[in-house]
Amino acid sequence: MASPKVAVVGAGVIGLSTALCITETCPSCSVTVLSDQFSPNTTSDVAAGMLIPHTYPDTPIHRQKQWFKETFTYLFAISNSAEASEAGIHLVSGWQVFKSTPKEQLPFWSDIVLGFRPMSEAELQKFPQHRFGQAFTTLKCDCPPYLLWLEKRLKAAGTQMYTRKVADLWELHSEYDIVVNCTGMGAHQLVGDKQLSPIRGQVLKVHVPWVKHFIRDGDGLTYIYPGIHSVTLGGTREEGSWSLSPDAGTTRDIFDRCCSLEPSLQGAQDIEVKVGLRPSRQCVRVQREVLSHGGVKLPVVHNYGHGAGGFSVHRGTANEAAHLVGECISDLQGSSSRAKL
Amino acid sequence: MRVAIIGAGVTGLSSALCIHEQFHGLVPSLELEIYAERFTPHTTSDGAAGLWQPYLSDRGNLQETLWNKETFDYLLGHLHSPAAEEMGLFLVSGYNLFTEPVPDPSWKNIVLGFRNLTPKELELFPGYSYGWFNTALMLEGRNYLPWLTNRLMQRGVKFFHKKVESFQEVSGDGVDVVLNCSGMRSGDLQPDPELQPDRGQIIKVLAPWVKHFIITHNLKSGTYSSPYIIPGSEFTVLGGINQHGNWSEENSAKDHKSIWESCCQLLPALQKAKIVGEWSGLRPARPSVRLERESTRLGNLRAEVIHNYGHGGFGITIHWGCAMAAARLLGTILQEKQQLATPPGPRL
Repeated sequence: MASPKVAVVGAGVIGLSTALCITETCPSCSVTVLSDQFSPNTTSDVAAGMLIPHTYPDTPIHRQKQWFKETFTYLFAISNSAEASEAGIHLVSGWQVFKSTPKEQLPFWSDIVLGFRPMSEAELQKFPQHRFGQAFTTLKCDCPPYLLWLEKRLKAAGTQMYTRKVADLWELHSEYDIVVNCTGMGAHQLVGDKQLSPIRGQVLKVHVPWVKHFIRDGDGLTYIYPGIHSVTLGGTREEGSWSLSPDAGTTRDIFDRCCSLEPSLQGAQDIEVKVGLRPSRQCVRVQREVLSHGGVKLPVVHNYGHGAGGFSVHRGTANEAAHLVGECISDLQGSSSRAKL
Repeated sequence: MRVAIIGAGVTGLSSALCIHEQFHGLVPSLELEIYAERFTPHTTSDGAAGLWQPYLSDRGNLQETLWNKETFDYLLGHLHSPAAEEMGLFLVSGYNLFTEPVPDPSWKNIVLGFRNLTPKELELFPGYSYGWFNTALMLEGRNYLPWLTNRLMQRGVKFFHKKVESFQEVSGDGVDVVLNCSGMRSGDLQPDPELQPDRGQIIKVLAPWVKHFIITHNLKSGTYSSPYIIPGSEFTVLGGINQHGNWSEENSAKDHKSIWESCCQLLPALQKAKIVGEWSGLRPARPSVRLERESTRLGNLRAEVIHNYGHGGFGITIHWGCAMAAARLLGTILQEKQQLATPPGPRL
């Protein structure tokens, strides 16, 4: 197989980063990205892109840690380069605060982010309703810049990108040798994965350029994440809700909760409301599958179900998916040489 | 009881506000007047980035450390007030970088979350092997000075756009006490060989992805002579010039190149930042701040002058502590003139 043809379905952070990893690990591959949405209309564009991991109940912790570490290392290098502003990657420091002291005071990722330590009494005075906190420095991926930067890198590597709604992965079998499924919430319909369900998140993007720190309540519901041109205020976690329409009452509630963490937000200008559906699963599905109809086989690599933690583990899962694509190619080359005998 | 303040930078305006807050209720006849050649946005305070951070060494002036602390605590107390945004006041965290280990500074327990940098953090800054991380405050002159001006005008304080040539000019006119907050120009009013300019130059850029201050230190060449990057609310300040004895307020191309190249080396992403301005200013440097009372005689008249100048590159950092000390000195004068029973406020 001289030049395996790989189709990556999905152009959010998972699809684009997976496609990029494939071009890096398999330079002879011809990679095409197919998606019904591109930035700025993907779920990734709604997310703040903070590197603070979500814990998946059914993925082994060491694997999640490895994914996060690879992602953090990759982005750390970009943030320290001349491309940082174009890629939308920047360091941000801040605090995660808890109303009551959590059982687990040292999350699995505490030694990967920078300068992780408990907050001092003096620091906690800024948060009178909270009794415990952690201070650290992490990275943020601003979208659309990060997705546009990935698209630019892909184009430079010869990757084609097409707007196309794929109704069934099998429809690609005659054009492509391998299909990579990075459809996020779309996988619910596309591959009928009932373990995948939406967790609706509404956020506000506001112009408050004097806010230089992130603040996050340990309950994960209220957060303030400063980006390059706007600050994301959140949020909600509505399980099973498919609605992409902003809710005015929710907007008011998010704003009030964030103002109680950071009073200066009262002066916020230009409030933009956005909604995204976190493609949630008990474990991220990074897995091979072979679709087969009438003797014809189509290898598929799945990489979806990242829920609230897409940005935090994207590069790690992209690496793993690219590795699985490599295995698919070896298998195809093995079986084609067998076929010649 | 007329009190004239000469100078409308952070020192003059904050001293005036502090005095008015403390004494206007107690001394009904109190009238404050501010005289200055330059007002915001043309003062030295307007050009400063506005980061609260004292010099590394307190130079043996423990009083200054106390004034710095009073200022920090005062500002921290205002952080959650509705006025904070208008004042240009917000929290900022960042890095101080060194090429060798140094003792902890006098202000380590004043700022929040002071700690040493981890090896991984130092990877961000090749060439630097030691450093600190802490959370401090920004107080942007271009917002704070207008805010102070508004508060003063609401209180009926009068402003005069005038270059005062001598203390006598003001005190001979019926003013009872003069506050000398004239910063770099104090030498024009009364020669002071200890007051010298520490010239600085800065480049303003748009780099909204920079969320931390980064201050490098060259122990041999001294404070602010090594690159620094300070993110403001509208633009980021790049600096690293400190020229003792240089009176020029003109931007120098050579200094521009030095600032630009050294800051881009420190933070490569700055290469893509858009330059939106440049400014030079004179830090009014002195071995110690001159904050004291002087009684002079002009014929039959006793002239009372309170000096409050020589804050170098830490004017914003120290301003409120000094304003309160100046107010205490005024209290003593008012007491002597039998305008007050006892001076108000706590003694320090």
